[in-house]
Amino acid sequence: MIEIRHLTKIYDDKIVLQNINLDINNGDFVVIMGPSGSGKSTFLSIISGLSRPTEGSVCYDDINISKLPESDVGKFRNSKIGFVFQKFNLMENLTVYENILPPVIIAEKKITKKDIFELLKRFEIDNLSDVKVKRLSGGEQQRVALARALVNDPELLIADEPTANLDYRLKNEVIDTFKKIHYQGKTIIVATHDRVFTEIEGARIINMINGKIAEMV
Amino acid sequence: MKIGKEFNIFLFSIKLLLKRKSSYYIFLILMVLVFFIASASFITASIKKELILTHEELPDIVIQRVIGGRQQYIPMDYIDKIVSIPGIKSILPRVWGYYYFDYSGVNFSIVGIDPLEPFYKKSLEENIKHIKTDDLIKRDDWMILGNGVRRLFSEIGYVDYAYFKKPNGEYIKLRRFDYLTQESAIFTNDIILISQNTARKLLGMDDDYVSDIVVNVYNKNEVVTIAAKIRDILKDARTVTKKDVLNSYQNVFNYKLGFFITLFGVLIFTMMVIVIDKLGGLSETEKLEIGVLKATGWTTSDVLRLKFYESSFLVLQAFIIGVLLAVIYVYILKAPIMMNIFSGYASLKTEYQLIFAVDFKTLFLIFIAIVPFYIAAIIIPTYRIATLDTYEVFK
Repeated sequence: MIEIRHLTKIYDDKIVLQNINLDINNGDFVVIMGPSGSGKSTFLSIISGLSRPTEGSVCYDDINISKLPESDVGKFRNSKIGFVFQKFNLMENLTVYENILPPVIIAEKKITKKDIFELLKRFEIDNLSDVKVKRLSGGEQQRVALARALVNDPELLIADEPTANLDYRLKNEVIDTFKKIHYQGKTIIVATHDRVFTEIEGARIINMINGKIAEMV
Repeated sequence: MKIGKEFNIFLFSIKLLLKRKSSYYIFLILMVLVFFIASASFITASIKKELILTHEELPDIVIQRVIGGRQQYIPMDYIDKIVSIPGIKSILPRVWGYYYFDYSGVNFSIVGIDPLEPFYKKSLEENIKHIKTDDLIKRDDWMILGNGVRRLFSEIGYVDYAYFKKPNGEYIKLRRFDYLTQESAIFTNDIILISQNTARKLLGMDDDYVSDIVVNVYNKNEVVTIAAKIRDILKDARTVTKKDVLNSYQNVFNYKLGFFITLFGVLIFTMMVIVIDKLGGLSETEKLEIGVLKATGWTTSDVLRLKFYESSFLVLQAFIIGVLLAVIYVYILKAPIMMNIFSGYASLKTEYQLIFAVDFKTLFLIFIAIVPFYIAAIIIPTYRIATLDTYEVFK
């Protein structure tokens, strides 16, 4: 369970997030909606430990990651959280397989090459393992980013605008993938403009405006 | 620190390095710089070693006869005039000169020797294995070749004998007797040892003249005094002491040192440009890489170690390959072009064998000027980026 309490983030005197309180249960599918600049991405970056809050706390069960030393946050993120970025943030000159490696290299648990290929197969990109990602289509790149996020089998998958750069067909593919991952018992938090996510059965919808939670469904 | 994890970080750092085009440019620049400086250092060290070896063999005083600024042959009776100067250990008249081999357009040094004379006998025995000096006394038509001459002669088919032209246009046929060893090549490379009689014929020198006279003394502190006494007695003589010779070498080296410092300046300047460029910030690709690593759970320490391996691998490879190429260039390819700048023997076309000598101090200096600076130039901006909020890095 994730307990978010009094979360505030101020950048250069500008309040980006203001006193956010939220509980997310294991297995939840949380969809965060809201206009650009509403603080969705900042919120995701803080709950994933990529940024620190100005005030407040983010607790995973009893662990407050906002107070953990940087090295422990890294280890925590590596084992518990997978993150998919809007622009995928893949290393373009590396191959698909090499792009999956960063979380594996520093993982506490052993992940074999076979495990990685099984994952690539799940996302139907095993035949592209030796191809540089810059040669892939947007949809293929998105699947590589997803595979990288899931390779350490994290409990939580966070995605920032995962369908923003995709056409209609690919968008549906990605949504199906998220549904499958959720069906396997993972907790998913997605920040998006895409209303299609709100139609996912059982999804909790959170609307953010001006750094505050305006509505929770 | 787990070895398996560390090794994987190292392997991944190499992957990232090899996939970045800029790495190859930087590698090339660093390698070329190291190559030039190391080559210059090897040549200098080699010549220095050669001169140290040669220095021990130099005579204390060489007497030359100079008239109107030009060197002339010296009458043999000059020896009688100086033999009674106290402190002189030995006096050796020398018959030698240059012979222009017009077929190849090359000057050789011709040295006429008396195999029975103790100095020459000792030198021959030191430089030629199993030599029988008695065989040399029986006839005059022999020659002993330096290594450069040997190579040049074999290229034009002069294997067992060669023809030499006297000043009157007649030819003398000389048979090859033996070769000199390759050690101390600087003065033996272009040399042809022949009998004194033959040398006189080729140089057009009368029997009662010699090229110069070599004097050795008992007390090395008295060299200057004895040289002055010689000049007092022989009014048209010039004396060249061992110290004078070394001073002239020193002058040559001073100019070479200037050349070396210039090269080193170029190295420092280039390193500064690279360092300033890197300190100004990493490329967008490198920033993204650091952001991805952090986002997937890498700590700042993990990222710094990755960048340390990456930069060390690049700069050490550049250093090692640069030095190895310099070794090949200097000692195997004989340093074409650069050797002419350094040797000062360009007027004699015969090749000079560089003795293997490494100046570890200079190599260490090059290492210090490049390796830590480059690594620091990568690590410092990496630290700046890696300690930012990861989300900031992607913005």
